[in-house]
Amino acid sequence: MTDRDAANRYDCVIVGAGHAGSACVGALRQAGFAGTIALIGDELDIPYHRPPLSKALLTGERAHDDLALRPAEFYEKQNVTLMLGVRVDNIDRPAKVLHLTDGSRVGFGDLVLATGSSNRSIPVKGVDLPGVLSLRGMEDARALKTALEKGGTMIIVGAGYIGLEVAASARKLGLNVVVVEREDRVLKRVGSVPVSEKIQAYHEGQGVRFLLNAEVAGFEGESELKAVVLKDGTHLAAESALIGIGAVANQQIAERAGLKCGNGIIVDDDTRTDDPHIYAIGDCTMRPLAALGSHGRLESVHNANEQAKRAAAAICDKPQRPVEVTWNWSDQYDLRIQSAGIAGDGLNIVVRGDKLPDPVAVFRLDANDVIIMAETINAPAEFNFSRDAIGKGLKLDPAKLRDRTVPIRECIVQSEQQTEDNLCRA
Amino acid sequence: MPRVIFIDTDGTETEVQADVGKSVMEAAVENNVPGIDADCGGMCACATCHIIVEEAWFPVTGPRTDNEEAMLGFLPDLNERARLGCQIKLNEEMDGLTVRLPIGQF
Ligand SMILES: Cc1cc2nc3c(=O)[nH]c(=O)nc-3n(C[C@H](O)[C@H](O)[C@H](O)COP(=O)(O)OP(=O)(O)OC[C@H]3O[C@@H](n4cnc5c(N)ncnc54)[C@H](O)[C@@H]3O)c2cc1C
Ligand code: FES
Repeated sequence: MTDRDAANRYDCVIVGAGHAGSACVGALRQAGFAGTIALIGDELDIPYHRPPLSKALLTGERAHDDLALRPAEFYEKQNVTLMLGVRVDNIDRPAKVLHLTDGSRVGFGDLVLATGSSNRSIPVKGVDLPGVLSLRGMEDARALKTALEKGGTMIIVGAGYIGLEVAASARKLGLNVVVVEREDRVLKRVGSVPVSEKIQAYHEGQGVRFLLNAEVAGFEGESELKAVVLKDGTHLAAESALIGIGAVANQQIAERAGLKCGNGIIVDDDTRTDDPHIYAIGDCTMRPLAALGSHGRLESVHNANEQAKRAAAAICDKPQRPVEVTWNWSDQYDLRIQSAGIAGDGLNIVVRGDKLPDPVAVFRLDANDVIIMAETINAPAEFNFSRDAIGKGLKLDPAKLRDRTVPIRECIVQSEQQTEDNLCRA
Repeated sequence: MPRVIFIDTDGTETEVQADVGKSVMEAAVENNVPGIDADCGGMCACATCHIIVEEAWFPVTGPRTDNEEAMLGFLPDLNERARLGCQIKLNEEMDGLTVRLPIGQF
């Protein structure tokens, strides 16, 4: 390392200034990390809340400058060097130096990769036309907002959370909305059948049209989008289209540096990669998921925050807290959709509640009636109860669960003590 | 600027200041007070900003709302002065507001 590089060395460098990176700064200082910290990110804004980009920001209920995760002074107070608008291109592991796109180098003691994920695209004709949009960051949200202001018809490609949230926001703003989904139901990747059906029906009640089992063949237009063409030949005239078909981990710099990657950078429960001084947190990781007995990738704010705390504890050699029950939320119209836990196949599905927007909860129980996962809509009591119950591995009474007149706490079958062996279920 | 005092489970006090209109949760997050995770950023979705208002301040903050009740009601030994920090907006009257952190967020 040259002298110039030495001046640019930090005890801990975090790459990626999003939810996980920002949380890791706070967690490191809370864990007593006294060394120097740099947070490097390629976006220009200080780290901000991403969830409102598809919701309150689009409908005008929140403004761009009201989205910071932590105020600018936070980073000063925590004595953190914030380097924004610059990308890390390469990790030189032997030298423990990062190469940045502006030509500068930054040395590190410990390295935390918090690079997030990028939207998948569709390799079809016209996907680059103006009017064909996707949503990940603030810049995308600005473009989407402009498209929404134009009005007309918006085609949403992909009925995942982000697609459905934008559909709801677009309907609120009075646009004509058509959702095109390749699978046979909405939210197939994340939700149970009853949840998919109820949410689709609710959107239909709000005027959204769904085309399921339908695939996009191309986007048409001369200088801007005029129509979306489906594989069966259907032409859908549109002013704009939003592609929301999922995301892939930003793991290129890790791969180039020879770190083990699968569907994400592979980490352990401490968020360590196969290099003892390199950690990875948030959307970019493939982490252990005890409930599935395998590794997997999660995309949620909770996962980003939890892994940020675990990385900080590992770096500071502090004891880890038990792995938390993973959860996330989505807001669509007046629906607050939440899920807790992760489920494999072959579980029993128990539905509590019926018609939205009244409270609905869908539980997944194993063969012994132990709760593994819950999806709730406008049911905060059921949601928070379930997060706790999943962590404790509680056995629930399906008949009582189905009966909304039985308070949720009274649906527990056994005492909490008896399940101590199940305590740390993720 | 109202001051807010957070008392940790081991008795450690942290005093912070925050603008009027900010929430107790924001006051904690902006000053990196441990024990307030605030995963959802104040959307009333996570219940990880749970705090217990000190008795003397309870008349000022008032009791939890129905929504907070739904979020925290699953806790078997919920304190009657337990609130969600993101739902308490600071005003001048709250200068010196003192709250305790629960044993653990989720
Ligand atoms: C529109 C939208 C709505 C969402 N809504 C919800 C919701 O309601 N609830 C929920 O739980 N989750 C939601 N999510 C998911 C949630 O926002 C993510 O899971 C979370 O942001 C992950 O945090 P992260 O830090 O891993 O990644 P990010 O927050 O994406 O941050 C990663 C950062 O790293 C930067 N970066 C990448 N590579 C480099 C590099 N080489 N050098 C420098 N910087 C780099 C990226 O540009 C980005 O700024 C939503 C996501 C989106 C896009
Ligand atoms: S910050 Fe999530 S409920 Fe208060």
